[in-house]
Amino acid sequence: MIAVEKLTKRHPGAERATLRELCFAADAGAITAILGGSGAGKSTLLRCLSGLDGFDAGAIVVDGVTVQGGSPPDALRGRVGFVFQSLELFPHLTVLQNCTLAPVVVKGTPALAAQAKARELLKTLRVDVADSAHPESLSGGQRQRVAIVRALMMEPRVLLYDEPTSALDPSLKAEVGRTLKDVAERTGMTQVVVTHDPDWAKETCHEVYVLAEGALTRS
Amino acid sequence: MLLRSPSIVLLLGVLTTVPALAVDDDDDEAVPTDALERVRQRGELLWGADAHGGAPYVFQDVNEPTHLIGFEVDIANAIARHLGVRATMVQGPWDKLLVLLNRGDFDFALNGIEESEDKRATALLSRAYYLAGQKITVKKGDTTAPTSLDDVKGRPVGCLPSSMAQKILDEKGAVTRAFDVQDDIYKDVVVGRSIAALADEPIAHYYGDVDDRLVTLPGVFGELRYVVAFRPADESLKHAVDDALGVLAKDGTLRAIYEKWGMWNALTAGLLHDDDVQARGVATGFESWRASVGTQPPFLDRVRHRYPAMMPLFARGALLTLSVSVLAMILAVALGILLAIGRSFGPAPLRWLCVAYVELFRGTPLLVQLTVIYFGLPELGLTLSPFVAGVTALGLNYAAAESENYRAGLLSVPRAQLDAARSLGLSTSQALRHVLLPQAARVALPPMTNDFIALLKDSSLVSAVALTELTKVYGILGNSSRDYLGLGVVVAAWYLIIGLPFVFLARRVEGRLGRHLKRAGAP
Repeated sequence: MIAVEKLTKRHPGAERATLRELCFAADAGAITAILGGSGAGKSTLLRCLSGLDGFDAGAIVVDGVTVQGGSPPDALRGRVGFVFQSLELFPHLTVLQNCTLAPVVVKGTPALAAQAKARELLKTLRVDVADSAHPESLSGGQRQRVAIVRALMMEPRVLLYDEPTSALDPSLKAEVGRTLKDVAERTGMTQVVVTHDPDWAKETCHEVYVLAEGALTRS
Repeated sequence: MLLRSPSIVLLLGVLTTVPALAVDDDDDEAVPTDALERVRQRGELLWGADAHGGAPYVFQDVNEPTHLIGFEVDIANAIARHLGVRATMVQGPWDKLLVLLNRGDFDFALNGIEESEDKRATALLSRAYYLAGQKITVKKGDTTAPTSLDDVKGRPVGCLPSSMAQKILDEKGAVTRAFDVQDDIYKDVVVGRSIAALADEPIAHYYGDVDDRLVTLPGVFGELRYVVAFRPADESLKHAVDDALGVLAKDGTLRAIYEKWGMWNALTAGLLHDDDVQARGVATGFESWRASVGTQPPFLDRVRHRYPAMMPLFARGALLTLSVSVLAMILAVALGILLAIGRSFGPAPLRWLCVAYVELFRGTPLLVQLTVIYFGLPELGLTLSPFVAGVTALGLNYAAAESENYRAGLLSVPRAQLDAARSLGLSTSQALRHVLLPQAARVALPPMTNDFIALLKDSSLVSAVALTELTKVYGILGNSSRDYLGLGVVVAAWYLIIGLPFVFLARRVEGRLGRHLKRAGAP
């Protein structure tokens, strides 16, 4: 689960805080949507939640680990997975290597064990490609599911998605929704999705928030 | 594991066989502080000279190109015989011989060094072994050519750099055109860029007199005395060499040497207390030189006979060029990566330091850096061998260019790749190693290949610090055979032979790295 308490973030030199005393919580297995127009602070929120950027005040609690404002957010990295809008698969590595790099390098998981687990997760999320395939040879949907598997390999407690349905046609959007539900069912993961697609959010997510001018309200 | 690679083994082999690598004698036995004792214990007399200067001093025998000849080779051998040791010539640029001497690169310098007060200030000088005057050479039939030194004011006259001739010309107000290579002084007169050449009598004899298009004016100017130069502390060696020269003068050895090379003159006869100023017999050394440079054999004959005989020298030069370049590139790549990372990801002070390094080494000439490292650092107590100094200077200089390549490579990888790696829990250094650098390498590789080829060519600058690499071999052989065109083809072929394999290798690696780098973006 994740709990965010009075999260405040001000960019250096900015007049107003980008995020102002923002609060929300999500349980294990929950899919939470955060809606918002451009410039609402969605990306900033995701960077804070994932531990890529620090924040000024408040706290983020992930599965009992608390990170206070003003302190380094490193403890969040690895505990919170992040599926980027541009996916950011590593183009020089095979699909399998994309998935096993972090567990092998960061956790010291034996390569063979990491590969077995990656193959299993890829199968679960319907990515049926050769071990030696590179991301460039995959379809868009396959790439997105590889990015999800790559994040899941670190066994995070929370998984963040940045605009997973942008520029997709309705049938593919439904496919993404199915994938998120699969993940929730099989892993009990807390998932937070930033999107600007209210219809999709209402269909897919248990809870929907709206982020506007740095403040969060329940929809 | 490293040693399994044949190229590394070859490289190590080169390193251990390059004699110039040894900075100092560091035998297990104590090295005597007395210079003469040191030479005797070593059994070898190291004498410094520049074979690029050419005939009749020290030069490569055109008929037997691996063989060094010249009147000073004969004198050095005679002195060594007298001391009961063998003589070995150490190559160094002529105008740097005294600096190299004080660095400790050889025991003494013996190479047409003129006695002068300013030389006496930095070195011990032996008694004179040869006396000569300066001679003016002009283009035959040139009515505007000077007939004496009084006519040279404001006009271009060729000479050797920092020679007595240059001093005389400066005093007379001439525009001096100094050339490192004797032949070039006279070529410049032939083509009409210099109106005359002023040089030591032997040089005028060997380079002016043998060219039908030139004429050497009668009469000599100034008197120059050739001496051997020693380090100031090496009194014992100087006395031993003075004694040897005395004996060689008395027993006729010196006269025989000068007659062989067509150099016997009245001044030297007086110096050696010999009343007979007429040379006896045939000057075999001079005649064989005149024959070899007079008319070149046809190109195909040279390809068939002369060039193969020169191959061992070119091969040795090529091996040195290759080993200096490869080691310098390894240093440049390693340091370049560190600089690029420091500049891209380091804290502010480190970033400034990296920028300062790059600007300093990119913004100043390589030759200046090499000179500072080789001749300047000994003042601070750090004396590097020519090989190490060459590799260091080239490596430090190219590291600046390499770091910019890698920085461009790192900049070409989207910043979000670093975010993706970090969000997976990778540290910055892990992300660099596994995610950023492999992708940056693809962008950095083509300019890196260019740089290596440039470095291969720039390595010719290390001849300034007494290393006889490929270009120097070309210069030495070209000067002694006067076959610059034919040998130019040979040396060009050598550079291509050692450079092209790296180009092909880089192209293959580039292809492999680039195969999967098409960005795989969002659906």
